[in-house]
Amino acid sequence: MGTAARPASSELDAAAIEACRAGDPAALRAFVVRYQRMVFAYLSRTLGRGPHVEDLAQEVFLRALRALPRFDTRGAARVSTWLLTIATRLVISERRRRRVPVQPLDADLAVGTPGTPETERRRVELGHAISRAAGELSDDHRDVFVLAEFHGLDLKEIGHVLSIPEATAKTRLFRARERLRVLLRDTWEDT
Amino acid sequence: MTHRRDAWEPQEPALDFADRTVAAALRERGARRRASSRRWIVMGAMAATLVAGAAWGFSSSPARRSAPPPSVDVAVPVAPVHSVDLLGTREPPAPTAPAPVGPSSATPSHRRAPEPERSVPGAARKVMVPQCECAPEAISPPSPSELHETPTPPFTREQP
Repeated sequence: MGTAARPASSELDAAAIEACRAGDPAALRAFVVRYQRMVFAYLSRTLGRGPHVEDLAQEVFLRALRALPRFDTRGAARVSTWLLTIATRLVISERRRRRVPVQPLDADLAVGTPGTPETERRRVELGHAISRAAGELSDDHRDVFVLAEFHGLDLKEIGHVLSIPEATAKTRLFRARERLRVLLRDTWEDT
Repeated sequence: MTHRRDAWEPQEPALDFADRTVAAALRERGARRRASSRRWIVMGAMAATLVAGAAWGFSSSPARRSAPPPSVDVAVPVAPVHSVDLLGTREPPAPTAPAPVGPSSATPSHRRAPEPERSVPGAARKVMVPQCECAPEAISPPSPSELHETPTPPFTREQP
């Protein structure tokens, strides 16, 4: 698990953000469409799949649109990092509220289609394995792992999103990778 | 490893998720605006009540009630006092006009009778006699023996 790939798509520009602030419905829709996959991915990978992901995602966007007038477009933070910060806080409060995972992380991971070739079957199996292994991690380690590996955040951004020191983020990421390497050893060798 | 990592597929948003979210955001924004305008109205009413209450409280505060009333002086008629020379060494003073009755803002020093002048140094005593309705000629100075008598208390009846 080497370097993380940064999301290819670019951020919304300042003019689009300004239109969102003005309450333009088209701009608001563009904002949601641009970032909804990222928010769903983060929430479903940290809390597991289910209807709660949609509820939480909507709450993330409502909070973001509420706080958008205070967001500094010329600042260092990207909109995606800012949205992930909001989502992380919601995830933490959701975990505190429910105490237990909402659903197993690998539940409902049926991505295969009829007539799937062998590679697709292996891919689905691998997805199940990663999801199971990530479910073995502690919440702190899983958050760091997901942010680094799936959302391309560097250690500084992870520290900012999770409100932890950069060194702590580095330690957690190292331990999460070590743990996953052990858990997925057999799966890696098969694939 | 990237392709392996991507095997962990996330949950996809529903097709109408964006529309529902935007509708909810616009609804919330409208509700917030209405609540904001209501809040301004309530705050304005509270401020007006506060100002009115403060004005009322200031106007009826005990400090203001205990303050001296505005200068509505009721002049108390003060009878002029004449000095009587008991030894008869001086002419009785001429009668003076009675003090004017009515509102006046005269200072207390004006109401006070003037200090009698000493005509003779070392004179025995001077009795201050208030002016009466009788003629000034009727006033006769008392004799020295009368001055040393013990005055009888007023309103005492004689024993039968």
